[in-house]
Amino acid sequence: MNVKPLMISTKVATKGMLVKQFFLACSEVAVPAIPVCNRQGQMVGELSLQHIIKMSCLPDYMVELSSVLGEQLSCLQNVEAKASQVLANPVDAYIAPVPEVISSNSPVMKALAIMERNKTSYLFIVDNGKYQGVVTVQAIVNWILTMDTSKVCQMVN
Amino acid sequence: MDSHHISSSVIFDWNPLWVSVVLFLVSYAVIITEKVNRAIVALLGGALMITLGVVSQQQAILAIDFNTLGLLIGMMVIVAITRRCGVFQFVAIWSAKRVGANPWGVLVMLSVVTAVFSALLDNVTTVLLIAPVTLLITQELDIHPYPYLFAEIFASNIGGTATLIGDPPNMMIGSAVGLSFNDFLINTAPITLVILFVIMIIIYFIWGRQMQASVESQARIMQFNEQKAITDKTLLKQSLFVLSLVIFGFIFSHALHLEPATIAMFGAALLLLLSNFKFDQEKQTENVHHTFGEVEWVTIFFFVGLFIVVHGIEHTGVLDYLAGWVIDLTQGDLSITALAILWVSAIASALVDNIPFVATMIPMIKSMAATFGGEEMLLPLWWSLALGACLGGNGSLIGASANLIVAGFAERSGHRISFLKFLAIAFPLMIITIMVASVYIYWRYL
Repeated sequence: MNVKPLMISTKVATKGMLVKQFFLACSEVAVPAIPVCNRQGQMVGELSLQHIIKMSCLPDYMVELSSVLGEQLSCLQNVEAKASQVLANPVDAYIAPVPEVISSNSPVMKALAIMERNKTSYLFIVDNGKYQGVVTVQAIVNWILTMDTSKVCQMVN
Repeated sequence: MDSHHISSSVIFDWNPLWVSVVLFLVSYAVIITEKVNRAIVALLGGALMITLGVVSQQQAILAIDFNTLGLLIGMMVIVAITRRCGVFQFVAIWSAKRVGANPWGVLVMLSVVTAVFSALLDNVTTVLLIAPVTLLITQELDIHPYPYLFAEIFASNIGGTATLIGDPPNMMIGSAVGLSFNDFLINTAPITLVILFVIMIIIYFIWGRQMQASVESQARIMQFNEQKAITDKTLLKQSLFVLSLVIFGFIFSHALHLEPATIAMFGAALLLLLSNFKFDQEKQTENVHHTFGEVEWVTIFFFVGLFIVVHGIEHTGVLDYLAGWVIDLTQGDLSITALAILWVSAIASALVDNIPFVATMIPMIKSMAATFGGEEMLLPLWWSLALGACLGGNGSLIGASANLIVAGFAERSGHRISFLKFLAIAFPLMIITIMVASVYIYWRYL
């Protein structure tokens, strides 16, 4: 089984796009990241929800000391204003380098192995230098759940 | 200078003196530019000293001070394991809460904690642990973190001056001269207390008296649960036990007939054993590998190369010549020489890495023994070197590694510390600390 049937087609991000547009693009198809492409359609980077959340509102020291934090925090004040500020920002400052990719013919196990090595839950699929879509751990799990496992279960029982 | 007595066989019959001087100057110049990693430069300089025949391999190996290296590595291992239990963050948050999260009180407490930790651990580790706590507290207090980070930089360099293990220059001086932990405790610790007090007063008048925080923001700090910072209570007990044992060993090293390196390495091995005892062999290997990975090998190999490079110019008589030149300048007056060493060390350490500077000064000062009537008469010079080299690190943002670590933290949190802004206040304050140190040196030793 290769990753092609599990692939989720997504929009691609471009430089100058707003964070809000990026969030919507991810929410539409429930993916954690999309690639950033140039005018020629080549991937020049990636944008991930986690990276933007970390960069915009989670400083390193807060992450490091998260266990000691109390219930009241200064960052909980004026949340709406801060959120609207982040949403109006262009995504350019949050673009990460091009990650490792796979082709649509790659087996699912290879995709899982690469995700594990890169400590990520998604992988972009690129064929002949052109972005095709994304495969996620969630999509793979959904596929496993659709398998007919009743016979195996009966044997085990 | 007569270089004929030197038993070197330099390649192409070049003059060993000039070869050593060129290698020394080029190595130091490249180290200062920071274009190439300092460990690479020092190792290359050391290797060329041997390859070109200035010193033999045997002489080079004998020049490496394994007591300094052992002490550094041992303490680095102990700190690498101890920091995992979260005790340092616990103490920092606990101390901030003890003063009711009062802004000025927090600054004083964090500075004192930084100074104490820096006296017992290395300065870089201390600020790595305290800076995140500081940024979190100042964020919640809604106060600019700059005065806090500034005070901590000073506290870390001042605290490091207090003990043998506080700062690498002290380790080098202690090892080369045979000065014990107690010698530093008796001679440098008292004046560092005075200097820290003076700096706190000045910081109060610059920033402290204007510091204000709302009741709500102080309440947020009081809600912090410092107990949660402790990630492993067993490791905490083991680490504190070994750390206490090592400090005890340092204090009674003379009676125990043990060198500081032996005590530190013994403590490191014991803590490795205690913290890994409950794990299977595979996990033990993984843990030990991880711990050794946290040792700053760049610093260790930097020292190795540096010891050989400095031995090269010592071997060819360059340092004897320089020592003679200094004595001519100071007319053989111990007081003037001591104060000159103090001030030159401070200014140099504010601008360049104090480790190569101290490595060069040690053999130079040693060669002054005959002029001043024996090695025991050199003590004021050693304390001047220790105080100057360590306190000088406060003079600029590049004066000490800890300063750059704090600046990095500040920048990542959106509060950039500019070189000139820091210099404008730090350099005059450093000069004040050296003035206090001058009075102390003169009053106590001269």
